[in-house]
Amino acid sequence: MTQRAMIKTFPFGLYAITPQGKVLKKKDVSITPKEYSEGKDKDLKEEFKKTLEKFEIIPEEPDKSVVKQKFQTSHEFSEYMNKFCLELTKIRIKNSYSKDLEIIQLANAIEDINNTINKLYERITEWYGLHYPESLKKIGNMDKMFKILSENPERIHVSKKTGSPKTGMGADDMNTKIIQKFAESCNQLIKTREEMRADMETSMEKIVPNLSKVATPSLGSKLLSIAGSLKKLAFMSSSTVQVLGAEKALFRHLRTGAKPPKHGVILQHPLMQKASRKDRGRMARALASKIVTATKVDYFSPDKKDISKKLIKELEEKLK
Amino acid sequence: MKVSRVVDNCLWILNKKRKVLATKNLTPGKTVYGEPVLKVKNKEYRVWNPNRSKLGAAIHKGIKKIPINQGNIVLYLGSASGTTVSHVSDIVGSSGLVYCVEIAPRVMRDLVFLAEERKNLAPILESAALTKNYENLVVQADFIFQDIAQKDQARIFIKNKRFLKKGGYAMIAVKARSIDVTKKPQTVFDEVEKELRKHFKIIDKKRLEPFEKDHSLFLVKNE
Repeated sequence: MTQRAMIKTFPFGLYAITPQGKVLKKKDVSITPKEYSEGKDKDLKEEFKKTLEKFEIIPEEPDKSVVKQKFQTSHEFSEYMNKFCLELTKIRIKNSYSKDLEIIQLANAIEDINNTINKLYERITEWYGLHYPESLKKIGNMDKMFKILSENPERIHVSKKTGSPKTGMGADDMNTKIIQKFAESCNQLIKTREEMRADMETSMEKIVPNLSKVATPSLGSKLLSIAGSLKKLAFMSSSTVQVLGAEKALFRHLRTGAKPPKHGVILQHPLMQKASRKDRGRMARALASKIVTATKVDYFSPDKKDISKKLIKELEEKLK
Repeated sequence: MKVSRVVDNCLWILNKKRKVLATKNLTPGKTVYGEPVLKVKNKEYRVWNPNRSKLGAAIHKGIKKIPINQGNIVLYLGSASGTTVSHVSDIVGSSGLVYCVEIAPRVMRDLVFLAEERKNLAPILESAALTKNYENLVVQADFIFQDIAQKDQARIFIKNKRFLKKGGYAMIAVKARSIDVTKKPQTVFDEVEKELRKHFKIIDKKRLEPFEKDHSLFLVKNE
């Protein structure tokens, strides 16, 4: 009868042991965390296996007895494991980062700046309105407001032409200066956001060309952000992508049996906006399936073949 | 200050008329998540917040046995950024070892910094479901703790049974909401219990209210 042996591998050695824990054969090695992350331990195990032809190999068990062969105390073993796993984990964390995470950060940053700017705009209109409520109406929109107040501070006194403001209390030099500074920072924020948008669009085009074209860069990046990574989005089903961003409604549906959501963030897609209210559910389904196809091509195909034209054409035909 | 021992390096301390759980700090002078520190006989103890740790909550709820002691080897599945892990690390001390398996790189980043200070932590960036990928790093554990928000968390727990020594204990914190949001939590717990019973002897179970909503913790033994 052939003897049964189990192989137990550690980064510090390879052991062939009997099911009772007796060491039949051992080989001291010293694999570095880097070599381990590249899979060198598997090669060594195969090599080691070849020297054990006369034994019947049984599946590996997490045997502890062999640890005593290498380390005097459990304290030493702990320190060795801590050091090895720490190095290995650092390498693995580094390898886990991919370019699509950069897009997600950009998309989230743009979203944050949007929210912030809206808040700041509200504040600046309240503040400025205290001094010159008449000119608020003249300026009108947000971008113009920041621009005028930051670049041309005299405009703050726009209603001085007609003497002192009728309803406002008017601003002195100190007020003017600080409001101008405030508007300058907002303006700077808007500029940064535009730069971020441009960066995001270029990276989308480079990393996920098909998703970027089928779903538009801004929607595509939002989907990536909700999914968490390109890999996760690529493994999602079309029905999941259809309701991404409508989690609240979806779980309400699952829990209480309320109506299921027809669409999540993909509602922002221009084709969805074109579709009539009645067709939106159908359109969302079709669009989600095309987005999923595009994402899968971007993730799995090494040369990221451009199939977006075909997908968009099919979608537009559906809309007719 | 009135104290009573729970397990090695872990005490109930009567502090300002309130009974708090605390573990002896392995790295005196350093705290992990902003927890308060108490001095008992010139030794530093870190207060264990039951609202932030399911194991801490289970001890507060009076679980039958806390099967960790100094020098133990612990396999911790789903370590996150290391709040509970730090207390387990206190208990096992420098002669023990805690393997921390976690799949998310973001929280692993925090754990790596913790493991640089605590020499008894071994972080492993891997899915707890893929036992094959870390079997050659871990050795037989005295205790397994699992806290992962996965749909098949019971199956993953059973898969990791092979790393538990004979007669060793294991704990699983079951999150009903990540198994099935549509079912009542109690139904989910009963299903998990039935599944666990096939592989382990169930020693105790505790609902973790009011510390955690819709969570239940099972203490099982590998016989």
